[in-house]
Amino acid sequence: MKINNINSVLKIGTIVVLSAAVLILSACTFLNKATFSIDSPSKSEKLLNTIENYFKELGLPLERKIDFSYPENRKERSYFLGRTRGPIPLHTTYSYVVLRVEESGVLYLDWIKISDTKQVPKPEYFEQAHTKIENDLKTRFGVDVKFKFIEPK
Amino acid sequence: MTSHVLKIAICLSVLLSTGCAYVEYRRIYNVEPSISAEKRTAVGTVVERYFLDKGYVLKQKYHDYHPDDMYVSAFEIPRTTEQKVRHPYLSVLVKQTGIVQIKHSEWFLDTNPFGDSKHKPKDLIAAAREDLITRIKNQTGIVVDIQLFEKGYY
Repeated sequence: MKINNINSVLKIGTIVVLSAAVLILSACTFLNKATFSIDSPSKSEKLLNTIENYFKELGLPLERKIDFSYPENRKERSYFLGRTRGPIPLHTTYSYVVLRVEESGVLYLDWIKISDTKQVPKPEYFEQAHTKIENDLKTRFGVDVKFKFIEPK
Repeated sequence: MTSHVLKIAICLSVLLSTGCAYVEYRRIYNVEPSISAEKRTAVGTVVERYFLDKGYVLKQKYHDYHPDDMYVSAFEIPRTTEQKVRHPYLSVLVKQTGIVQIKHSEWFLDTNPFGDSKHKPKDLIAAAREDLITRIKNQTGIVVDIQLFEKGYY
């Protein structure tokens, strides 16, 4: 009788430990990012304003808008692109696009996915989106831009 | 029998270790009443200088336009590794709505889910409250009060 009780306790304990392991694994969060510099004859701050107006026209919801003055001068604009589920129901992905002008004066665009899975974003995946942005900025705002992939360090 | 005891010990160890976690200690105080833009900046500067004088390290200053329109100065609170805390920050927020806020946030290792953990931080703003009110009055001539606005888990 005593041994049966111990076995029951062990079975319940094993289930609890395995459940905790599943929860811990599914609760891991990864920040997957692909960074591109935006090259243009226009000055970065003017270009930033132009792209902000363009994103506003597209209806992208502005999440954060910050101008840093210390320890360095830089600007950041974050836009929320949406939430998706998968590949299993426990997994969720939040997508963002971030525009930032660094103190160097270079304008960058980050495509970000905060996800329960680690994903390595390939630059080719964004080609179609970049071509559309380049064409729209040229036709609507008269601005020439080119996206250049920045290899992660 | 030994293997049964070992299995029970492993189960208990996992349960206990997942019961210890870092939790956020958060306190937000408002400097009241709401004041004009010019006075807000002066009050914010006095508060920033106070914590700089205490040895807090200025890490960031920025203007947050959206969603809230406010100027933020973020200080790192000096802590030792023995104190088992993460991201110990104190921020001074000067909001365009007329409010000056002081926000204390740090994540500490909660080793006692049934009571107070020995790593739980003290309320820094409450401890500095009287000094701050006096300093603001002496340096700006403005009479203010500092009231608790929000607290986190504890």
